[in-house]
Amino acid sequence: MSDEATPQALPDRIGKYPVLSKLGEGATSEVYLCHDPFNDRDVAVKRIFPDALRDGAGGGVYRKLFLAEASLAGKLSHPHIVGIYDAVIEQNSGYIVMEYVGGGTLEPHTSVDNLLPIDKIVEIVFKCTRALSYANQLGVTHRDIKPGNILMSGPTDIKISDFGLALSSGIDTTQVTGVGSPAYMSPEQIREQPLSQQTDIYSLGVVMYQLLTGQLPYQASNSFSMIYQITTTDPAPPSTMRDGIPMSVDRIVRKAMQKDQARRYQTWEDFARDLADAFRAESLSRKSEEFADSEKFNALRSIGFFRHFSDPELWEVVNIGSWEKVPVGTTLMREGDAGDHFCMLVSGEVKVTKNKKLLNVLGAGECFGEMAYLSETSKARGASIASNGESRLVRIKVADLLNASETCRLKFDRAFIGILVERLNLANTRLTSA
Amino acid sequence: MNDSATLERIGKYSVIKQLGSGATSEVYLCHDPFNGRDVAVKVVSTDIFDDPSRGKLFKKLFVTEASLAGKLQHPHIVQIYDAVAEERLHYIVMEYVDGGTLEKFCAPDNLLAIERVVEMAFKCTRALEFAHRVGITHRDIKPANILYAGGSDVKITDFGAALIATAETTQIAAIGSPAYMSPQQVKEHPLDHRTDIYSMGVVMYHLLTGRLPFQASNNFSLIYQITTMDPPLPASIRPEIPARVEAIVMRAMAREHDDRYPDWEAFSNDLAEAFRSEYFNAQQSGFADTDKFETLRRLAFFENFTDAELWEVANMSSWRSAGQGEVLMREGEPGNFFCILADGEVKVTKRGKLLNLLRTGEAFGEMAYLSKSAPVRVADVTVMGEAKIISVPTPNLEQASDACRHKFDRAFMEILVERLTMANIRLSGV
Repeated sequence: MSDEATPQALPDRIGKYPVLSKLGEGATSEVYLCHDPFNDRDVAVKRIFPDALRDGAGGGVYRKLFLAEASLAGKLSHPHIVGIYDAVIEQNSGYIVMEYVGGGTLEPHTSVDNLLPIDKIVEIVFKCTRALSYANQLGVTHRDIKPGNILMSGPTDIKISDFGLALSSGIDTTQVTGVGSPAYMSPEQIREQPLSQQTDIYSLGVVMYQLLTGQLPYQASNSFSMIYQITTTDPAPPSTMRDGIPMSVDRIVRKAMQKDQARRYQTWEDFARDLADAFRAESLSRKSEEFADSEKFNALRSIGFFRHFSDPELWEVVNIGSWEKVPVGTTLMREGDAGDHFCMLVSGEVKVTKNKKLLNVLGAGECFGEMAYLSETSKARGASIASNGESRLVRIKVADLLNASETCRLKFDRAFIGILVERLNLANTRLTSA
Repeated sequence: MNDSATLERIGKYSVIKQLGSGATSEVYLCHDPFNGRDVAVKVVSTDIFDDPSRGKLFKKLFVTEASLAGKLQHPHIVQIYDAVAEERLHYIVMEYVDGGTLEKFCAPDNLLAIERVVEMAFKCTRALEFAHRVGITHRDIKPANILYAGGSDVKITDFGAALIATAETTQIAAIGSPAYMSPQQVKEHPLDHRTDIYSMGVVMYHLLTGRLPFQASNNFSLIYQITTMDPPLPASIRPEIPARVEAIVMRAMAREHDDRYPDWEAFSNDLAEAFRSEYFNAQQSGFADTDKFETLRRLAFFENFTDAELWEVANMSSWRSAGQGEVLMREGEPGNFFCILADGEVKVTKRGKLLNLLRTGEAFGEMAYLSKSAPVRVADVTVMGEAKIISVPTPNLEQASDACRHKFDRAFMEILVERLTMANIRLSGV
């Protein structure tokens, strides 16, 4: 470390990483913006204070736990989860190297004068539920969901940070009083009962409450009073504090924050589904021709073509597709035109015609124009396509798909192979019966 | 050495033991706790990093160069995971290969069979071409930089050494032996991939004969010989070396660029050709890796596969020759593999009725892989004349890399599109 006296005593480097600036500081750690010269990218390095590294017994328990949790969290590869690149623990120091996200946390949006629009909040929470569901499937529970651990990476894009108890606050979280505010803790966490994904569901309910209203569900002058309320009283519904919050959103927050685990959402999927339904039912999005990300995601989820896509892959499709609502009678593709994209029909119907002769009628979940992607030789449209009723569709440019991740393209090709095999079998049956 | 005996960790890596040491570096077997794997860490100690005016630049170059080499992902190249240049410590973290180097096969009493040497050289030439295509020249090809990974498998290491080499070649006498250096390198001429081709020729010479092409008691004499003399012919030292193999070594080691192989492609083609020649056919049973690779590379089906992916295919597939009339697949049988015809002809029949004739490069039995619902053969496949068959077990393919599986899918997709187009044409004609 340098003995150069800078105002904040910025370290020269942490491990192999040269330090660029300080990003923040918590009770047990501080976070620096650093550079990784080998991979040539900026990273966020979270350094744990030496005090937090000492466990009472003086053994290596915490060290082992720290590495095990970091390695496990490092396996999470998802667009809405901060990637963990490395973790190092030594005698008197420990640090975690993470993806750097420039947008700050959700904390600024928890105060009354800086609230986000309700539809944006529902979108953000929806993305959190899907990301936490993904983590849960890989056996990772977060246990410290709060606005300070959710980073903003775009207008409604987020990345959840600090998975794993050991990583976020050290082993001392088992002592409730030692670790700042218990505001986001679930009743069972306060009672030190065994935890499941439902503890994170509760905490995300609190985050949602705070983002909607600018207030915590329980106001207390001390931790003891807070704990008492968390375990015994019901909070006021969010709609009593802000105009425009639909009943369905009230219900979702209430269900996520149920004290009794049996009455709370059992799974992230249930939570996510209610959010998406609320979005649709209340038409929270002000402009009806716009698609919300949750809407796109769920539309894709329900299509058979995407059955084998993982969540991260599906989010890629959400991002590379362009989404449209088209009125009846719109010509979508014209026979003979050069094709540089294909479409998936999300709802409605289209008719396929060649020389004005009707060849086929396609319904929701079917794709058309895919020969532009599949065939190396003939990119020209073999038929014309027009909407047969009001339809919603997603357009995917071939060039964009070619730039997608290997695994995403692999899934597309697998799905197309399934379609091709089916069509070929059909054609062969017709040929042999002819 | 005394120092290193007590070395407990290098950066974040805990040291298990020392693996070796050279003039400017030491290599340690270490453990990476975050990724849960053993790694080889090469600590580089050279004065240039302490140079007051250029030290900083060299440190930066060191990491940049390693980072570039780290982009090389190939089964026959040692993977670089990280590189660190700190105040006093400079090191590269690499894949650990547990087989030592090719140095041990350079001793006259421990020589490898000639076909093994040709196999290994072939793999090296392909790997070096792969590197060349992304703009990387090695510049320090020698047996000590080729790790032995069992059988005829090798992994080339120390691509990042290019930097150290350039920095120091201004004083040739200072850096070990120039035994594997090309005439251009000892003359300090500008270098390209052909310097590596020369060095690879010397490595082959050494592995085949158990001695270096030029014997000298000092480096100046060695440099003189490299730039002016012809080495004794390999077969004069080991008579069983076939003329073709000897010719390859001599061409790779030609002093003048014009006489040397112009590129890796030509070098590896000759090695593959030599392999197919009479000498080896008498020696070998089954298919050699070289043969597999060369065959795959020429089949249209694998047109878009990279070298790394082709090696994956070579390793996961099983190869055999089949005789006239042999039935390869039978209708109704479960199918957990598909085949690609490497050579020859097969016929597809259903209840005795001829459906199709397939030729070299065509796939069959793939519907069992493609349609998940019914992994059952729908027709018989019988060999016409002699045929070479590549079978790919589908469980093996499921284990392959995403990139490799994806290439298979793309190839199958093209076939399906073609068949569907044909079927539609026939349907519209009906």
